[in-house]
Amino acid sequence: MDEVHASLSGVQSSGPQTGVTGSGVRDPKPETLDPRPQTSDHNRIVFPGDKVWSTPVRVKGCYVSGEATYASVLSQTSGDRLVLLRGFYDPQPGDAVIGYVSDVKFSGYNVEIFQPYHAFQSSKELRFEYSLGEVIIAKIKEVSETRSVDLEYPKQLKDGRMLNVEPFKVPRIVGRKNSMINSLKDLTGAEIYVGANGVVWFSGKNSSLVIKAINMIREEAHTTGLTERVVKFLQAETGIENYTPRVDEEPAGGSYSRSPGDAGSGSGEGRRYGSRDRYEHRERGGDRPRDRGGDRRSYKPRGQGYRR
Amino acid sequence: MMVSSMNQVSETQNPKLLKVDFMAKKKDGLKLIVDGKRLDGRAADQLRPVRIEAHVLNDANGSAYVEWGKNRVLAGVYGPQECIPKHDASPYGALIKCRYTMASFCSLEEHGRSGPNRRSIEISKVMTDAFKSVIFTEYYPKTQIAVFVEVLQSDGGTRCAAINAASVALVDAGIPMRDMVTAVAFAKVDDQIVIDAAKEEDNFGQADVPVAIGANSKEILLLQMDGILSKEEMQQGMEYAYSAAEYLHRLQKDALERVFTTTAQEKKETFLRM
Repeated sequence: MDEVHASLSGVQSSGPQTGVTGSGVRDPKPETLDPRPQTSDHNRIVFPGDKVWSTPVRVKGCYVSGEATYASVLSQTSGDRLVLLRGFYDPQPGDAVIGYVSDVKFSGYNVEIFQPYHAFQSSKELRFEYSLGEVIIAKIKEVSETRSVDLEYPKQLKDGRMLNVEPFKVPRIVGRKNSMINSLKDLTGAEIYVGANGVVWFSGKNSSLVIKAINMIREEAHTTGLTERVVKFLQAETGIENYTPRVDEEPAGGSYSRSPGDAGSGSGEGRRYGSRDRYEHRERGGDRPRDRGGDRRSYKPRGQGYRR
Repeated sequence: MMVSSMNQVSETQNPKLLKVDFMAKKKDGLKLIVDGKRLDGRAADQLRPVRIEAHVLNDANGSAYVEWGKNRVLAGVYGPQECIPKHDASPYGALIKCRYTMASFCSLEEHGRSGPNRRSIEISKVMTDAFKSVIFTEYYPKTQIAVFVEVLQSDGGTRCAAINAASVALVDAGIPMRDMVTAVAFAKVDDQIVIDAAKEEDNFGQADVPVAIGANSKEILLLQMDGILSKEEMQQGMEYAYSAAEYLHRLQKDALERVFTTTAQEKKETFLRM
């Protein structure tokens, strides 16, 4: 009986009793953390309230109290960086997000971005109109004080599938210098868009393989050497040999990246979602030109589920 | 006194008989602590065995399962999500909605339908208050964070088990918090201060004090007292509670770390064991 019960006096004298891995992993002495760890292999999991650095550093997943920095979400130190293992999406202007039109209003569209934030795409400077349920990718123009999101430069995504991933795993899906997303595109032949809100949109014949690969990334998001393993997995599935992950010189703006076959994505500067894209819509036939005739009826959406 | 085998069988078969019998014995002066050992053989400063598993539900943002002696508690966290009803939403921060419920089958006592009752509404309220002071609610205006805790089996000290489970589930969900929360109860039983009172000690003891403590800051986030204690007894109990909180915090961190260190196969086995 005494063995199974955790004796408090025992805890105090003999230290950790169960499941503590290695020395210095769980309860690192303050001097090992002070100053900021320099070695890249010094990885440890930090929990909310744990002291990360003894200097004030304002980064995501941390808060500063007094002169020290403490973790506020579950994360892992990686050298002098902090990698989040959990977390929610924090909308920032410039991020590309993917969502569907959830409501059509007189002045624009409510877009469901699967986050607790209300996203709105104004139809003011829009040459196209969308209807209920259509999937769009758009850039965040502005985030209000109460986290209402205004979108700009929408573009319709047609004939694809959406997959929800945890937003804090999006950097792993994109990879360093787009290496992961490029490998996914090259090896599966799919067209893939990743929204910073954690929505992955893809189309192509090999969609089941894309889902498998993305689920693999999700499950192993906290591990190292992931790109090599995903490439190996995809090579085994597709039979493609001799592939090395393609890296882009310029990191893509936000988490948004384009398909290799997409027109206008050749140079690095074109990767930012800019005005040029708006004119491509008509050629692609994805978006319908907006009726500017002033006829109110033209605003009536054509999807199912429309209510007055 | 000789007890017939027939009586023994009926006692073990009918839990209600057992309970009545216990109450009668207590009236006759049954000791809850004999030779420094409690009814279940523990010393005054011993906790019941505690096991914590994090990330046990697939669709919740965060979840945890706690086994604490005979207590079994499951916690799930959803959010930040759209606040419902909408008129409750605050532009200043997220609303925390804790919901503690006991399953109708959770103990020998009648719990009837498992909906909220006076007691569970109170516990939901004090849990909400405890977590309000550690969660950065201001990061998520106009939203709610829903914390559901279901007591599957109870044996005294479920509110502490619930707070520990909810704390792990909130961290697992990625809700930004100043600190993790640990909770433990101490009690006065047979004029002696003991940590982590079991059901009989709670029901027939002299005082029961659940405490929730900020794991790093050592702030007291919840303190309730049912009974009367002297100043010295309170100090002794708090000493126990602080060292128990340290131990529980280690278990909580362990459970969360195991989410990342265990393989898919090991995870499957964990589910089977539950």
